[in-house]
Amino acid sequence: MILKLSAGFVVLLIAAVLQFFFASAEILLNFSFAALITFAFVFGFWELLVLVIFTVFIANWQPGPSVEIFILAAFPLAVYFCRNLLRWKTWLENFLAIALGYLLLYCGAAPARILQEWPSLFANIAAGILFSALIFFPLYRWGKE
Amino acid sequence: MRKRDSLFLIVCIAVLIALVFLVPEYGWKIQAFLRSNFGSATPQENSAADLMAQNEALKAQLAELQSVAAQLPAAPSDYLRAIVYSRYPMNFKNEILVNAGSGSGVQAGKAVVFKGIFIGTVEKTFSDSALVQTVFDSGFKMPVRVGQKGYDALFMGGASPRAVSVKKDAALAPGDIVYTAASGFPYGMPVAVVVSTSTSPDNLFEEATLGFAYDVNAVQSVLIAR
Repeated sequence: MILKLSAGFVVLLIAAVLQFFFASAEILLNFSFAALITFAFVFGFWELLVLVIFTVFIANWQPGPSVEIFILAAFPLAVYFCRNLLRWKTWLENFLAIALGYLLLYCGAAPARILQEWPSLFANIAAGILFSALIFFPLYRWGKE
Repeated sequence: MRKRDSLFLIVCIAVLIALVFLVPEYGWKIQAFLRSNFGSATPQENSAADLMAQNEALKAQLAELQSVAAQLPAAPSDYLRAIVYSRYPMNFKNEILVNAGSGSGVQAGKAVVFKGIFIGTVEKTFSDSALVQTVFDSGFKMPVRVGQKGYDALFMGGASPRAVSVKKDAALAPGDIVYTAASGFPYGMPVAVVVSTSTSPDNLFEEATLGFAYDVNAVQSVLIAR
């Protein structure tokens, strides 16, 4: 359990590093959110909660609450409880959840700008799915073993 | 799940919740460490940016002296230095959190300056910190003037800020300085330089894409007007 949880922390740190690296080139992507949604399919609830709170600790940029941080934390937990709802292939549900998650994040954080921001939304969904694909299969197989 | 594992996870959750609510600044420090090591400009880039910032500030001074000196108030000196704690981590806004808040006399709506260049306004204050909306936030708008002739324009923030609604016969040119002309802010403070000009899609106005002499992701300390 500790080894798997440590892998989760490492993935989140890699996601944060990638995020800052791309941000320095003015490419604004959010890999941490995709990682958390993927974790909802491979971790138990309490492990997921630890990783979600850790992400909030790193990502929160102000002392007060915010819609973005709420969605970042609540959506992966909601996905955890709904993950068996569709009974499709797990990887497909994961990718669908990522697309839905980013859409919700954009609607929650910038509802008035969603029409102008759609290229950025699609870029985030594509990058999120790509990042998720890289971590989902190894973690999922690890969970099955 | 074994009892020992459950206990370990509960302790982890309790510790993390305590960190989030009691000492969020440690999270900001981790964020700053990751950002400075993996996401900000190199020292060479910073020194080039310093020179560009000085150049931009000098251009602004020149524009002021040549055209609007008589209208300028005394140079504002009542500023408070603040360190950047953290940055908005997503792509919807461009905000920074600084380590001076209402307890130090910071008020919402005040100008925030980096190396003599206007970079944003105080959006919200907390007791020990304040949230600054930078000019790169897509919700940021303010009246500005452009160039030595002081053409009126509207500054539109965003990832690629623009100066729009400039009268069509204005002779804007690349290199013209864009400076503050909004109530509540010191007049004539440099904001950006014109990079290129074009006609608005409705063909009624001139507009300009803007360049900046600093990397907002590398800004570590700012001055806040009291």
